[in-house]
Amino acid sequence: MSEKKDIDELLEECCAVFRRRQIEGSLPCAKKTLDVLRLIVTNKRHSTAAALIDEIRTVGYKMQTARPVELAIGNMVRRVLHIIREEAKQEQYDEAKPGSFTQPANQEGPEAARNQTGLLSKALNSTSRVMQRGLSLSNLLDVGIDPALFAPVPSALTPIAEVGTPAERSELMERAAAAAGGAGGPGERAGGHGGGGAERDPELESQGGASSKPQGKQNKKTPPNWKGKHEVIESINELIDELDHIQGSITLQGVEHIHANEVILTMGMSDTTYLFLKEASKKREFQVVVAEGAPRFDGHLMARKLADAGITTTLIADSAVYAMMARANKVLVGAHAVLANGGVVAPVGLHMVALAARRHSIPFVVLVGLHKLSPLFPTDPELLYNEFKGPGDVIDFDVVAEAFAQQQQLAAAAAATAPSDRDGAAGGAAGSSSSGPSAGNSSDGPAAASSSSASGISLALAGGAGAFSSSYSAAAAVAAAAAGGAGGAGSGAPFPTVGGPPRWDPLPGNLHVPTPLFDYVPPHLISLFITDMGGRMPSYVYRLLTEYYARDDYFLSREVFGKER
Amino acid sequence: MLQRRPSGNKLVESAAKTQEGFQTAGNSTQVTLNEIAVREFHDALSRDDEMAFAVAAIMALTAVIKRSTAATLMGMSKELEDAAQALQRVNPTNISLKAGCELFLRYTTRTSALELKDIETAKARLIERGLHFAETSTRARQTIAELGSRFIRSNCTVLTHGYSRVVLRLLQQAFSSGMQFSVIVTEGRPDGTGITMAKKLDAENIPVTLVLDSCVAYIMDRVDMVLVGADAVVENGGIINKLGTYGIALAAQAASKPFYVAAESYKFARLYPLGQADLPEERKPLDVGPMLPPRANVINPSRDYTPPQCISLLVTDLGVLTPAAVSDELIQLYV
Repeated sequence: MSEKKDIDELLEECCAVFRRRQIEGSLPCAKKTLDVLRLIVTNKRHSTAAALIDEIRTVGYKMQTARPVELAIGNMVRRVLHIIREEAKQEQYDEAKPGSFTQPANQEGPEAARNQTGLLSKALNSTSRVMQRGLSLSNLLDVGIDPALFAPVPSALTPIAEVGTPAERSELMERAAAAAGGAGGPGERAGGHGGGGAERDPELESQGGASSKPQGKQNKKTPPNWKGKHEVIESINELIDELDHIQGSITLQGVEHIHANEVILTMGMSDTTYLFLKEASKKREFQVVVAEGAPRFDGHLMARKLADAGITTTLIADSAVYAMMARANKVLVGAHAVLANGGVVAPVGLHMVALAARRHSIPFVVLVGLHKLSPLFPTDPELLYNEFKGPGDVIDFDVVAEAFAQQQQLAAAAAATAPSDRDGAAGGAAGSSSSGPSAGNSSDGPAAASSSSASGISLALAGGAGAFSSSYSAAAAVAAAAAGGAGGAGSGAPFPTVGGPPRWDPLPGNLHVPTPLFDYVPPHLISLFITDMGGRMPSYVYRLLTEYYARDDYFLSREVFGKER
Repeated sequence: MLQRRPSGNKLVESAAKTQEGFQTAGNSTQVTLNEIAVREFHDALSRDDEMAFAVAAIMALTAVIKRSTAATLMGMSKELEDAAQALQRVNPTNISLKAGCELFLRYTTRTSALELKDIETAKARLIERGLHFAETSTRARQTIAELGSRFIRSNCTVLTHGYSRVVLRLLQQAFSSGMQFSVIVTEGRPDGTGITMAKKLDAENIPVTLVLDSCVAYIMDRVDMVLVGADAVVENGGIINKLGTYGIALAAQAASKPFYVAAESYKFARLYPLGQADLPEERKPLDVGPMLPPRANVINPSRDYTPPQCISLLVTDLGVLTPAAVSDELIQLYV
């Protein structure tokens, strides 16, 4: 019990760390997620694969919601779920095979019938590819066959039984039978498994874990641990190893993609891009143009690091990207996430770069590890892909703070006075608080604060920027008139929200300063992904999804999970 | 029936006719089997309003297996192939029907290649799968509805063309999940299927606007996404659908609006049209009124081909696919 509590505490702690952004970046988040999941798989008892899947899904959903914008967390959860599902399927397949060949005499009526009817689907499933991908046109007719045989699945398992493929269902049914304590069945099957799973035994022993043989005897006392667990843990370890090597395998491809004397354009700072270019510079002579990446200006750091690595580097302003594009041979950038349609969520500004590249027919290449591959579509209501930072990068924080204080005063004054003579009171408050030009910006504090709640597909940036350029330039000029003008038409506290209901206050300094972190770059602007598994086209992303995730895990939230597909 | 057929296909058709005649002399059971198939096909279609051509074809072929007296799987495959050809002669321009027949034939040949049991069990298994398929197809529609309804956002406007059961199902699903959106439906001349669609949407209380087919480009800037069904999905990921779809796709592309297709995977056909000329030609009479000069020609195709570069995504029961994924799925089955 105490052990269980420890894990729960650890999970909470991990969620808190995600929430507080104490871990930044996809890779560290992915690793942390896997660590927690591995701990859960190792230390908690689960009698069946279904129970384990259930638990991982719940935990995973919790972790993802702690930091929704970091899609790598959910991706890793789905990867682990996929590993468990594959293991369960493999086990079922291993069991079925020796069963039908070595002990045909032992089979009872129903089991024999099951083997008979399942033969076609097994035959079709025998190619590893079909097994790997679940539902496909090639097994369309076999899906959901034999409803009579798969119907009596215990209610505890129904969610999965409903959505699973036949192979999974029969697996679950067998497990359920074992859990129910069918004395003869499991023992017999365990014997069959001992013969069939011979190639896995050494692996088990090297792991130092409990071997699968005494499971049959434990059966009566405590619920037995699902025996596929060791393989699952092994696979999770491999996955963690894989994460460690992602950057290395991407950078190694540098030489293949960069030719001599090319001009590479990039924007902002990205570790992967930096290492990629550095690796390529060992063998190739080329130039890099770095756009500074306002408002973070991490392009400055990138340019410095590249120059230190001995690469000819040019630093340009973001606004010069289009002008410089004509000279570039290739655009190389990093990304935050790859979405299911092949589009990417990338640092803000990259959509513009991609459009410029398209205009000049320059290849737009995205460097991305496959841990960033998400099965969600950009239109998906579950997807929150943007995050807004404080306005400090764009506007001096002192100005913001001052304006915010004034705004608070205004709001307090407005609230204090009765609505009937609000006009006069607000005017007085504005008049008394207006001290110099900063009064013109008096609403940017709340605006920026509220902008962090905005999200969604159509970025608030466009509208926000428009409001910014128009009202900011006007601010100084109107500042003097602020007191009178604002007072005349003043209403309650102005909290204009981006994307929310328009509650524009006619204060002249109505100013939004949204600073989104990410852009969505649609797939048709992307020429190539360079992943740790090699180059991939955006149109191939759907295939990668079927390789890495089970379809039932695309949505981690419970509501979708319960539904029948 | 022969007179109505296009001249291009005449040669093939007459060849098939002679073959059929030859079989009549040699094998009278084949003729009855073919008749059974055709009758079952029509029965299936009339029995259920929701029945798709491909599913009806598979039901018909299942009926053939039931009645088959062939002693070998080879013999049965031959009978099935003949019956499939007979079915396609009923409606030679229907690609969905062709796709359904091909899908089922492919299953039978694959099974016979892999199965080593006696013919009776093989038959039983095939019949079981064939009968089960009708259920699969309704489930397919439900899956598509669930996957596709996630693409419909609140307060968006969807443009659709003609009547499609799966599109209707998808919109119903989105609406029942509490999403507020409106639908613009084209009239769908000459058969007026758009009006059917509008009626059905209205019955569901979904706000619907009816526009002329020629209004599509005009209305496009008010539209957030285009969603159409498909008669068939071809190998390169393009679709064959009611006439006018291509025009809508081009308008959507010009206005940078997403163009989504909802289609069940049994509509995936092994065709590779390069242009409109590669579609089976149809000659349907069209009433254009009495004012037509006598020497003016009238061309009235009922379908067009929309190339894959116009399509954003295909929502199928196999998942949400990019057009490139279609050939991958077909290769899985046919290679």
